[in-house]
Amino acid sequence: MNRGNHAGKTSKTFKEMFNQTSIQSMVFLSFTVSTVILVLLIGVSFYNRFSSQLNANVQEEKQILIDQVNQTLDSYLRNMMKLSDSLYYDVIKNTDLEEESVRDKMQLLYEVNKDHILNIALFDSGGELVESAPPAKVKNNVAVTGMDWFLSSREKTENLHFSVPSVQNVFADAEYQYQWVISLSRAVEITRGKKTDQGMLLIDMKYSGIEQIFKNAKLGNNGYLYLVDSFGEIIYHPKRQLIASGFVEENHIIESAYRDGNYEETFQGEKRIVTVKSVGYTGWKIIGVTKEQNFSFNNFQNRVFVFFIFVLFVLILIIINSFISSKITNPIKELEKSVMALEGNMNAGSIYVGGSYEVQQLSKSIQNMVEQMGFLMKGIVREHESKRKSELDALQSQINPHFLYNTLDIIVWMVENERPAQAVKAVTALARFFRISLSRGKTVITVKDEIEHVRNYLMIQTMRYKNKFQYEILADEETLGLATLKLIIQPIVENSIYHGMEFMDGDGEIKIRAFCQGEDLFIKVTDNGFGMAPEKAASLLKRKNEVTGRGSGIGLWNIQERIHIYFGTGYGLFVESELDEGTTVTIHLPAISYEEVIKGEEKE
Amino acid sequence: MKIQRKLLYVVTGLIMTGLFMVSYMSWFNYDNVSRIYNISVIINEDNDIFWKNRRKGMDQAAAEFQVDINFITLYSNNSAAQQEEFIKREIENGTEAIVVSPADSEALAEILDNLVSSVPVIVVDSGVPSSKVNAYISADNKKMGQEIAAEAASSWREGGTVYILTDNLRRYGMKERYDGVVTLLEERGILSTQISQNEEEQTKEWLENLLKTGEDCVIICLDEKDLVITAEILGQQSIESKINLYGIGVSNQIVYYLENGWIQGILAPDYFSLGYLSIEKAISVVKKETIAKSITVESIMVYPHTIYHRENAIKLFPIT
Repeated sequence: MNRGNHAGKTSKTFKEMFNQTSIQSMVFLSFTVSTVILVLLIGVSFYNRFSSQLNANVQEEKQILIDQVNQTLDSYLRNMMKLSDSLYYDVIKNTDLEEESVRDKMQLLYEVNKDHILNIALFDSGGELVESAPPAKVKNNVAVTGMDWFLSSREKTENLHFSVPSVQNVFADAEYQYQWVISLSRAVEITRGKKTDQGMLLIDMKYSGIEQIFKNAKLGNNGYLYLVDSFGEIIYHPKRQLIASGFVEENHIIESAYRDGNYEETFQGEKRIVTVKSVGYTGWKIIGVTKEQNFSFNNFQNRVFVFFIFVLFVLILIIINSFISSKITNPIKELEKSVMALEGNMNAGSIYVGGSYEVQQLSKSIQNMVEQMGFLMKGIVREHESKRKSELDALQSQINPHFLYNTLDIIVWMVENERPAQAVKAVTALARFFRISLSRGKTVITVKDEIEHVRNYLMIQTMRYKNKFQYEILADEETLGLATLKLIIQPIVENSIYHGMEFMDGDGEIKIRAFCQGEDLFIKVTDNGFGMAPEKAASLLKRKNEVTGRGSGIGLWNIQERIHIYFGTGYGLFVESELDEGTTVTIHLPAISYEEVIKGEEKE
Repeated sequence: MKIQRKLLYVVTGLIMTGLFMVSYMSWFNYDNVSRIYNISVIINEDNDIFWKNRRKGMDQAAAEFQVDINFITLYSNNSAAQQEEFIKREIENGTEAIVVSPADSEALAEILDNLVSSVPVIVVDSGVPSSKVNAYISADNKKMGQEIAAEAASSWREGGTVYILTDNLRRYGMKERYDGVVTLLEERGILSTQISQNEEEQTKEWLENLLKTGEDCVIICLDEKDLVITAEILGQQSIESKINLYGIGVSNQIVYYLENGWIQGILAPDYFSLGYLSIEKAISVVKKETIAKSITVESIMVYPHTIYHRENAIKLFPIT
């Protein structure tokens, strides 16, 4: 439960942090992190690839070198073997030693090869010296038959035998020379008269011959080659003497057991690669050792170098990403500033347009939106202004002094002419008329009140115009509770009276009818006055043609405008007229109940 | 904020510079750049006949550590004055280290103590009582004395004398050998006599006189020179003498005499290792590395019939 809460909290914290992070930071971080990760991946891949490739190359070169050394050594040994074969087959085998000496021929062969050979000697089976080149005396206390080379050759007569390096100890040397040699020996047949005997042919190869082959082969700074026999005995090693003294250790016993190929091993805490190659015939093995340090980047300085390059790269990346992210986000910031300025003051100036295509499009859209808003706001202002003016006009008309004077005159006349009942009637109608006119300042009243208002008006006007016209008011029951604007029927009736009824002689008619049709409310005011041409009728609703009546001062345009403002342009007035026939003005309103309108106004 | 930013830039720059320097350190590090060291080797003899194996060791080290060795022999044997002269000359010539086999241990100590120079000094064969000596490399002289004395004692016959030929006991190494011999012989109740001759001719004369007496005795030579002289004299005898000869030291000539039976046994120090180590440690000191003050090399007892034993042959006849 706690973990769930904790995870939820952490996630919320991250989300909050994310929401509060600027675009520039997000762009910068995401660029940098993703590039660093990518570069790390690529870097590591390349490093590993390069490392392994380098290792492979080093190994290949090492292998080539070892092969070359092997070839050279093999060639050298084969030459020695050929010499031994020449000595045996061309010199010794077909010579009867009782008749002939092999000394000269041996000497000749020795002379030709003396750079590589210390001596050549032929012994009989008893270890007695038959011939040698150069001529030499066998040491007194030496038992040739007990020497390793002699024993090996006697054991396996069909083979040539290469010994391990040893100090030459067969022949005396008065100059105190103790030279290291590798003895090549073989069993031979020697003929003495009619007898054939087994003998031993010995060629002491100078150790320096083999030493030179290996000394010239270099495996870089931390690599070397050495040579062992099949038992792991070192034949050549660059530090052979130090190994013998115990100052250096070598893993020759184990490495000599490896088959040909490459091996990774750890010796004395050091990783190294060992390459083994067998030398033909002898059973010897050439072993190439390369320490890992030689071909790896795993040392302190290389690591520091890699780290340095990495840090340098990250710094460059940060600079570039900073530049890119600011290039992207600066226009957005400018746009933000513009919008904020506009927020404070709509007339603050134009929106900044710049940056990438999308940002420019956004800026233009915002600019259009601002312009649209300005236009709409101006429209609203105009509308409100118009409404205010219309209402103001209507307000002004609520108390029309001319109508009041005239009506009061009539009342005075009635009183003077002792017609109190009519006077009361007139006063009452007037009071009701003005009460509804004012309607406590309301803009919307019921149809019932508006009908009442015009009824009172007509009552007074008929008194005034001495029954020049009749009037009829018919309002469907369902219309009485509906909402209508104040002072919309009376001005129309007023126009009918002033532009039609005034000149009638008792046969004028004004009919007012209110009815519903679907969701609409219609109030028709029809008179049988002079009428007018249809064009004139249509033009009555235009502001420039506004006819303000002598009475209220509210023209049809005003009524139209008020209806449009309050109920929308889908409603309004419609004037039909025919000359000499009369005029019908239809008021079209929505059939909304008065309570509904009041509730709506309260909510606002 | 601006100041903080500037500080950040400065710190970053410093870190980057540091990393750059370290990563390329090997290219600037003088020590890691391949260079040749100059080392002077001053021996105590007027020839290097008996220094072949040591030189082989030094040559191996020289090839490995890229050293140019200036090998100096004296005009006359065991001259401390000449050694002093050569030491000063080599220092003036810019040698980076000196390897010296003292002719006179105490005299050399005084020379070194009075030296103003801080050139590293490695002493071989005989010790020198001076704080200026960076390392002393030798076989265990006293132990060798005891070992050779034990060999001599094995062939000593009752009533006979063991003669100890010494050359220069001013060398601590010789003194230690001598003390080792005497100590062991005394322990075994064997009478010994020190024979010390300054000149070769004197030694020969004494030997010939000894031979004339037909004395059944044992001779121990504590150094190569006396051993060679004695072996030669004994070898030239047509009649087999009753003298058994043992010695400390090795050379091809000595081995030859041993093989011929003129010497019954030799104690051969590992001179190759001694030579190698002297150069290796000198380089270490030049590089300001810490090394041991005293290093001991082994010695092997060799008889005529064991010369060619593999483990002996490689010590007696080093391959380089």
